[in-house]
Parts: sequence; C-alpha cells; structure tokens
Amino acid sequence: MSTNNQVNGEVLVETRNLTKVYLDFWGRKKKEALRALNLQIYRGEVFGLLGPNGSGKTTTIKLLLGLLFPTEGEALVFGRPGTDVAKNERIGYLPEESYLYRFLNAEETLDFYGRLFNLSPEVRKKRAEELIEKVGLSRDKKRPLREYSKGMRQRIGLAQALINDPELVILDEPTSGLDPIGTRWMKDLILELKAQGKTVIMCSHRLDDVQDVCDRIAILYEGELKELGRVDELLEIADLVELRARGVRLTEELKRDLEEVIRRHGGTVESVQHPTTTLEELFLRIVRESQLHPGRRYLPQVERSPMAAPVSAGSAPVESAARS
Amino acid sequence: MLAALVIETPYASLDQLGPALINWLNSAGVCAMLFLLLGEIFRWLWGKGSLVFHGLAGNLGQLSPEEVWKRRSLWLWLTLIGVGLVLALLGTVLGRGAGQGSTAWASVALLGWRLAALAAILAFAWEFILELLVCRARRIWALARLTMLETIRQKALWSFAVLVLLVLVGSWFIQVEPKDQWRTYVDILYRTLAILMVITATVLACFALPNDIRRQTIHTQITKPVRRLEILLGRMLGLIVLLTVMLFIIGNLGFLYVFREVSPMARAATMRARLYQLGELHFEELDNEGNWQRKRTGTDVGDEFVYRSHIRGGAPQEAVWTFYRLPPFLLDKSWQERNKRLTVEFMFDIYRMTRDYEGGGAGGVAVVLRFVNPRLWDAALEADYRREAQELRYKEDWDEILARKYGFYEVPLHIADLRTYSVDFPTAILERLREGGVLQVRVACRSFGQYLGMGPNDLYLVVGEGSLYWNFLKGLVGIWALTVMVTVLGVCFSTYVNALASMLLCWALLFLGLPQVQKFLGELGPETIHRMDVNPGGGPLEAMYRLARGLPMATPLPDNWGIALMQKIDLGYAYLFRAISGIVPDLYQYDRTLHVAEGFSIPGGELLMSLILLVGYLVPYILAGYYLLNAREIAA
Repeated sequence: MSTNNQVNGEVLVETRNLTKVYLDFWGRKKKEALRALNLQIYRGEVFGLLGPNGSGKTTTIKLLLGLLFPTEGEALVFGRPGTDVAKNERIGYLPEESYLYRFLNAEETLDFYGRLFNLSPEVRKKRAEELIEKVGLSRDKKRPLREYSKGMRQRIGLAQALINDPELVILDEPTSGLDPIGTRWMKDLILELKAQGKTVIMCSHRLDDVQDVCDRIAILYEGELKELGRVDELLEIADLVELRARGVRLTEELKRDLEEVIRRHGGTVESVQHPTTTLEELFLRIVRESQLHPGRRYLPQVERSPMAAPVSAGSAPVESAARS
Repeated sequence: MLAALVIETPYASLDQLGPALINWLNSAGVCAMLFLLLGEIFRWLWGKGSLVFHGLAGNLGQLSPEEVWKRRSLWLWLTLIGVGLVLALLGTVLGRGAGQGSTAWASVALLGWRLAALAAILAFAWEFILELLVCRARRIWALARLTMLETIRQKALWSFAVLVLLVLVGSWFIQVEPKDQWRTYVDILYRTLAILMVITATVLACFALPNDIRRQTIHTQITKPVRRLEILLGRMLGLIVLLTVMLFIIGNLGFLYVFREVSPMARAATMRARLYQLGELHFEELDNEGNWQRKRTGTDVGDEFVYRSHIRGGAPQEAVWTFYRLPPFLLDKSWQERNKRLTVEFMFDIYRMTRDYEGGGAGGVAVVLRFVNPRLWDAALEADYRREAQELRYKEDWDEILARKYGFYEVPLHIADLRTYSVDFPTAILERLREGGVLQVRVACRSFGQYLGMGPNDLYLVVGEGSLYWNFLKGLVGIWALTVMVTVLGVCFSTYVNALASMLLCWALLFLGLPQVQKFLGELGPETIHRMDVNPGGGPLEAMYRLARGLPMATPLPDNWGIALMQKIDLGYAYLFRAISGIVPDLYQYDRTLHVAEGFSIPGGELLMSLILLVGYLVPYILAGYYLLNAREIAA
C-alpha cells in the first residue's frame, strides 16, 4: 500500500531542508535540534520517527504542528506551512504526556475540543459518545482526569485527537508509560486507523512498537536523518535465510540434511532450533487467561523447578483457587 | 443634612469625546509609527527579513494568496503614512514660509499628520483586524468557559469569602455616627471590593496563560484550528465574565447588608441618588467705576486647599453659578405647572476673620442667594421689584408672579461652616428661559469680616431623585472597569513574560495610575517642565546643574547655548514623561465612591465616557498581546 502511495505520490507531509536551532536571549546558538531534514510522508501510511532522546523527533513534530517555528527550511502539512491554522482542521495530535485539563472529565474534555473544531452540539455529543466507547472509558467518563491512570489519560488523549475524524494523526510517543496491554491496544488502534485510510505519524524510541506498526521509518540521531525507508526492507538481512516448517520434529538427521542442502547452495547453517514467542505475546496470553479464569494463580514451587515447562494454555502451572 | 460633592478634577464627560479621540489618534499614531520602525530595524538586525515583506507576526514566511493580499493591504497603509507625513512636512514648512495666519497650510499639515497617524495605526493593527474577522465565537466561548471552569474548580474564588466575612462582621469593629453610616459603609465596601477584585483579577489573569504554557496544555489548543487571538480573547472573556458575576453577587450582598444597617438619619442625609445639575462658577466684583468685573477666582485667603475660592463678607463681591445647560424637562411648561419649586443645594466653607460668627442671632454667616435670569433682570429694577413685593406680600403665590415677571428671586439665610443647605426657588423663573437667557445663582456674603469659600461643585440644582440601587450598581461599574483593565493587562503581559513579572507590571501600572502619581507625572510634561511655580529648579539636567554649581532654585541661569541645549534636553525628558503618562491608566475616572457615598447620582454620560476611555486605553495592549503571543514559539 505504501509503495503504491509513493508511486501515486500524494504527499501529505513534507519537510524541505528543515532546520531548527534554539537560540538564547541574545540570539546566540544554544542547540541545533534539527539539521536540514528532508522527508516526504504519503497518504495512508504509518510513518515512524525513530531515535534516542534528543534526536529531534519531537522537534520535527512540533515544527509540523506550528508549536515551533523553523530556523531554516519548510515544514509543510497538506501543502501548507506548519504555522497555518487552517491545516489543523484535518489533523489529530496526541502529545507525549497527554497534556489535558485535569479538572475536566472525559465528556467535558471531548466537548471542549469539539468546540475548538467548531462542531455543532449534536455532532460533538455523538462523536464524544462514540470515542469514549471506542477507547473504553464509558464507565469512567464522569470522573475528572486527575483521577485517571496514565493509560486512561493516554486513551482520552487519543480520543481528543480523533474528535475531528482527522486525515492525519500525529502521535508523540504514544506507548510511553503504557503497560503491555495498553501498548497492544494502542498499536491495534494505530493499525485500525491505517485500515481506515488515515495517515499516521508516530515518534517513539520503543523500537518494537515502531517495528510492529510502521510501514516506513526515519531514524534520527542528533538532529540528522540517518536512515529512511520501509521497515521490512531496512530490517531484512540479505545474507541470512530463515526457514519455518510445521509438522516436523527437529532431529539430528533433519539437521544434517538441512546442512547438506545449504552447503550444496554455497552457504553454512548458523543455527537450527524451535522458534520462541515474544515476551509481549506471553504476557498478553497470561492476562487473557486470567481474565477467562479469574481464580487461577501461579504455583511458587513450580518457579523453583528449572525444568518447568513454559506456560501455555494446555499445560499452565496454575491451580484453581478454592472458591468459597 | 451633610453631603458634599467635592470633585477637584472633573470627570471626563461625553463632550470631551472629540478631543479625546484626537488625543488617542495622536498618541496611538506615534506609538504605531515607532513600533513599525523599531520592528523593521530589529528584524533587519536579527536577519528575520523585512516587516514589509514578511508581515507583522513573524510567521508569514510562506506566502499564500491570502497573505499576499495581506501584504498588499499593508503596503497601502505604509504608502498612506508616507503621503501623510509628506503633507504634514510640506504644510509645516510652507506655512512657516507664508508667515503668521497661514491657516490653510496649517490645516494641510494637520490633515497630513492625522492621515499618517491613522494609516500607521491601521498598518500596525491590520493583521489583528483581519484575524479578528475570522475568529469564531464558539471557539472563543469554549476557551472562556474553560477558563471559568478552571477558576471555579481550582477554588480560586475562595478569596471572596474574606470579603463576605468582612461585610458580615465589619460593623462590629467600625464606630461611626449614625448620620455617617451610609457614606462610611459604602466607602469601606467599595474600597475593599476594589482592592479584592484587582488582586484576584491580577493573579488569575497573570497565571492563566503561563500555567497553560508551563503545563503544556496549550499544545492541544494550538494544534487545533484555534487562532492565537481566540486564545487571548477567550482567556480574557472567561475571567471577565466570572469576575463580573462575582462582583455583582458580592456587591449586592454588600448593598443588602448596608441597606439593612443604615440609620434613618443617614438615609435622609446621604442614602439617596440625587440627580444634580452643575453650573459654571465665576466671581464678580464691583470695580471703582461701578462696573461688575468678571473673574476666574475670588479672594485668595491663603488656604492650601485651592479647590475653593473666597468672597469677602459685606463687600461688593459675588460668586456666580451659571447654568448654561439645563435638562430639557425643566423648561417644559407642564412640568413647571406640576412642580412649583425646584431645589438648590449648597455647602460653603466659612473662613473666619473674627472669633465668632456674625450675622445676627441666627448663629451663622449671613448669605443671600439670588436666582436671576440676566435677560430679564437688571439691578435698576430692584426698587420696582421690592415695591411690588410689598404690595403682593399677602398673596400666596407672590414670589412666583414676581419671579415670572422680573426673572429674579432672592433668599437670605444664615449658614454654618461646611454644612449642606437646601433652598427651594419657584420654577416660574425658568418659564421665560424658553424665550432665551440662562439661570444664574448669585451668592453674596452679608457678614462683615467673614469670608465664604466656594468650589465649582459646592452649589447644584437637585433636578430629581434617581434610584438608589441603580446608582449603587453604577458605582460598581467603576470597580468593574478596574477589574476589566487589570484582567486585560495581566493576560496581555503574560503572553510574553512570566506570571510573576506580569503581576508586578500590572501593579506598577496601577500605582502609576493613582491620581496623585498622575498629577505628578502631569507636572513633568513639556508645558510645565520649565514653569517656576510648578517645577522650581527646572528639569532633571537643570536641577543637576544647579546642584553642582550650588545655585538656588530661583536664581536665573546665564543665557548661553549650553544652558539652552540643557533645557532642550530637559524638554525631551518632559516629552518622555508625557509618553509614560500615556501608557498608564487614569484610575481616577473609575473611582465613583464619592457619588454613591454622598448620595449623588452618577451621570450616565460620564460613566459611558469612562468606559470609552477604558476601551481606548486597552486596545493597544490587546494588540501588543496578540502580536507577542503570535510571535512566541509556544513549545520553546
């Protein structure tokens, strides 16, 4: 899809030689946060800005949103400069810390941001209800945000970013501070937005998140663009071949046969083994099981056993708690 | 009865609207030209490109069609400034060449200058005006609502509980005579309310935007289709609405409390809302040729309080109040038929030259008040008048008949020092004012050796009674205006500096706006900087020179080019002080405590004028606040 967009060339966001230098009161250079960044982001793709702290990810986003002014170059969104107010009609923005008014509740928050989009009362009410439902805050919609957990604030933050049904969603560290369940929820939502045809720009320093959801990424380091391209292409290791097979046991004979085949094609086998799942997958599975079977708990004596089998649906080392 | 309307400096009235507008145009025009010039210089110095080419707010680098249009409009105004200035220069130079009396060239110069000033204001405010046109009420109200909710839910209004407490228990600690209750309570209530409103408004206004920026909650606003002007206006509106409601509630609670507490004596004396009509005071004195000479002041008795001027008892000297303008209904025949009498109230200062009052057994100074229509009355008619009065004295309406015929009515009485008296006179004297003429009240002192002191507002016609509650609310409008002023100033300052600095700036301006400080600043103006009676010793440089040379303040300085240059520089200082006094508010216009406390209805025209002045004063600050917020990198 992204490739098609690139070919079709509908550029939503573009930076041309974008540079940001922070100056002190006397106009002296304090820090060069971004240096001559050139990017093009296409309609319908999920684009990740990747980099360590201070690499210029958030600065880029703030320049696109008009929160900062470029020192040199241009930051164009929908072909208009970042400082143009009208372009914001089509943008949804989730800041890193979900900086919302903590004295408002979820309904009031969405109503307030709906008013800023000049939405009529009926549309505001309808959208607010839908979004509160979507982000799973229906039961807490009357509580002030100061009572919300970090994850809940991130959810309502995302809801406010979607109140105008934007074409472009900009997410600044969307999974920062979230637990694995929240992280998965956020990633699923980003993929859902992509499925709806929306363009998503996210910046993060959590590499796994970016890998899971992004079509293309840009890697920034100390304000400079170091890498730009499709995630699958960038992550591909061209001189390694991975083989996956189902319905066969890994025996010595199989290993030898595989080595023979690989050798005949001029290569060498580095390792042959059963694959492992990710820790995230494992965690989520346990949470799902716990939700299905609330009484079950972990047996400590099993933990001490080095030979304990991995936790799975069929052979979980859990026991049913006595129910009163 | 004791009530005094001692107003040393008159309040601005609607009659002064024209001159006030011209003054505003001149001051704002000069400021706008200076800002345009300074902006251009700084932009050039910092390499940010020309103001003319990039617009005023600093973020119009990439030009869209609308911005091209904006730039062209700006160019138009800049051209007009140029044309205006050239006209002004030509008018001045050619006018000088043409010599004295060249009014045509002077008019050209004036017209050119005003054109340039207006174009400069438009050039400076152009982006603001265009931005204002595209602002949306729903967004502004959303931000105002947010401000109100924030203030209420963060319990910022608890400070008002202090005032409620003060109002409720205040009378336990205040010892006042029953007759003074209304004026004392009103005075305390208004002043406490004013202080509390100013402090609350300053704190709320100065912290609103900086808190939003510090907590980064403003990021979620800026990234919506919200204009920065909408944020500025929303913040101001929210605070103003909230504080208005609070002022109304607390003011009414205070009114109820005071109303309940006041003694009957105070109700009769000052708990009123007299509709009054002021006249113009001058003095007349008989000269050696037997002609009455008109004078601006009477006899100077050496009193430091210069508000009142004196007339000598037993001397041919009179104080004359002329009522050039009377409310139209007073001249209405049917009204005059319904109301046979009209009241004049007065209060005079008695300056005693002997130990006790003279003037007979009545125990006071003998005074005679004469109500005169000079078109009908002449001193030569006095004998006829007295003879006819003697003949008609048994008729019930003799005074009306004579007042109608001669345009004259006389009341002799004895008065005590600084006590308010009330005298009725027949409205028949007003009847023939329809044909022309004016009403004069001439006051003479008949007690030899005593002096009567009078100020412009010491005598007035009581033309009706207004609503006490309405007058109380009008008094609150003054406090409201003050609240609006500090709210707007606080929000505007906080667009650039932090909350504490904004608060200090607000309070510094308010301090400079106090009447005493204003008077001082006024005396440092170019007209008075070299006047010996106002600024003995001259301006700052001259004063330093005198100190260094050990010259007394009154010693004339040598006449040479060095002294002339020094005095020119002092004159420059004087213009600087004048500019400073232009950016500070005139708080005097908003203090209406005296009217309400003394039982006088606040003239609606004056109140309206004070609000117009407020708008004129605040508009440049709002403009500055908008440009500063627009030029600010919110996330920096």
